Amino acid sequence: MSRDTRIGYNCSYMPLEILHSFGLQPFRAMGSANAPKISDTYLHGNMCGYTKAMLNAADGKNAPTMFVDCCESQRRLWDVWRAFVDDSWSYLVPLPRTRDDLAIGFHRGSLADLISFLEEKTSRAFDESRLRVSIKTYNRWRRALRALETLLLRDKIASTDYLRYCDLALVSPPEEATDKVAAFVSLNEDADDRGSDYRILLAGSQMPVDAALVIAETALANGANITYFDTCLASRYYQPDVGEEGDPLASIASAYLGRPPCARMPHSPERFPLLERIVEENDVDGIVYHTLKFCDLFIYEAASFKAYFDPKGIPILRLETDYDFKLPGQARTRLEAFLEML
Amino acid sequence: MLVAGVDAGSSVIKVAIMAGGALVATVVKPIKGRVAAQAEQALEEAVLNAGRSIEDLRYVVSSGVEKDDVRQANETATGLTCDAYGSLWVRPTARTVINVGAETCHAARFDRQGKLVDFAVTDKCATGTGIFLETVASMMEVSLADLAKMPADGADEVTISTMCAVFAESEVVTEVHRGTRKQDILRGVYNSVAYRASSLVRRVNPEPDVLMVGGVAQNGGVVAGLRAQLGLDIIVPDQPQLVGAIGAAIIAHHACLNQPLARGGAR
Repeated sequence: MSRDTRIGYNCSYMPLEILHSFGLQPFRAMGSANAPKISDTYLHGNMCGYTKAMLNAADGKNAPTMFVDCCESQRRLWDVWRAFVDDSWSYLVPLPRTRDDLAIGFHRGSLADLISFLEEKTSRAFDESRLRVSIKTYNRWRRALRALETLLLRDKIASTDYLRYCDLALVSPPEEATDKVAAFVSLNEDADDRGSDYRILLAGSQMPVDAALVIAETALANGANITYFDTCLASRYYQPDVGEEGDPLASIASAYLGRPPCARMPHSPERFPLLERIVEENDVDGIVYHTLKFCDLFIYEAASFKAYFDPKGIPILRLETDYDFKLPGQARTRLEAFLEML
Repeated sequence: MLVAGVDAGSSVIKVAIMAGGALVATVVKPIKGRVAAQAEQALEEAVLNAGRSIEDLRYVVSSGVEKDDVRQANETATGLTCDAYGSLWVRPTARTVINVGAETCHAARFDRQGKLVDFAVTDKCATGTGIFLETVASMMEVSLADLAKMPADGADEVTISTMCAVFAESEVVTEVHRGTRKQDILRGVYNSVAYRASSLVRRVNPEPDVLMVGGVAQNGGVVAGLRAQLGLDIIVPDQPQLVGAIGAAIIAHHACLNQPLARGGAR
């Protein structure tokens, strides 16, 4: 696929199959560690590090990026993007905060608007049969990633391998990523358990893959495997499948809004019992709850998260970072000390 | 059975050598140059002080912010855990430790076995740490050791910002230019450091006995400020900067006996 079909996006609620059906190759924008720091010129200091890293990576150049209306920081980034970076592709997909029939109907309408925008930008007419193919392509991608997650939950693979394959899945064409993930899964299906001393669940705000890898490596060096990632780097993408029958837009709206929610959604506490079940069924010994500095959504949720899990006697480490690509020493010390406490 | 604990901090390396569980030699060495080479030298010096040679060392545990640069280490441990074991060694009734070092500050509560129960670590910020005191000393044109000896019994009139070391530094400059008495400025500086440290200690719900360790514990003004702000008795052991290295040596001693202590970490 040629370079000019690659298009960045900011949130796991971006309907990837719609972009794919127009011949685009969506990739999750993660920002860059080495980009010039231009963000303080255009954004207020109290925007989160992810927002700043995205703008820094664009550096005023042509960086086609589409947005989901997921939080205040990202809306302000969208404003700045249109004014100072590149407004050729900037589009804000509205995202409802509820998931009842009314919200699904509203979201279906927003997806139809997105399709009109893409028809105009790509000069291609919407083709429903092509969208159905894209839905199937992404469902295969989801199934491969869920199989990868199952191996991780069983402690058969290292968290670092899981993260590398998730990262690949978020930046590569789905067909290619599915094949690579499936090959890795079949290679490791019959692997013995790693016998990790501790199993950890990592939940919370967005973080760069590099930082997540340092956390995973630090845990591994201390005998612990992070066996579940409730983050935007991984699990939010691959459950549930999008329905392959009936009205495809309604199926996409319903599947995306019906997935285990992130802190952005008001029904986010509904995922706590799901996480609790993962903790119980997979012998998880402790939880690392990561918050990004100035990420109001997860910082706000942190208290109810702790209030839910504390009485159940599950140790929780609250780890705050600044979207550092290189994890600061203090954060590493906190993690190591937490592992020593278990 | 000779073992060593190496606490490689950001400005000083501390080494404790133990034989059969007894402390036999120590070294405190400011870091000048590459940490790996400095740690090796400090370790050799400490072993020589114990009348032995480096080949006699059976096990080495390193800790501190530069712990990964100690090449001789068989394993690493966090400063929090080492401070907990070190505190119990110097005072068996200790249950809380606060460590104010050159660049970081941490507090830990632990049980009678030394296992961490709760802990708090400062963010990436130098306020309320030794580096800040070094800066103040240079503004007062005295050494850090002499700064600790200067009277700080001034009035509670000078308030130093507790938000940022850089801003706090400019506030001290302003007070110096104003001709404010040194003991008043120092009182303000120590209150500021104590405020940062006490905020951290409160987060771990301190239980007595509370020990203060790390280089800054040698400064009586800071300790007095901490006592006043926490309303707790703060005990400063002899050579407080060595407590972490002693804790690391204790972990090494138990590893040698094949009796791992109640902690996770590399085993």
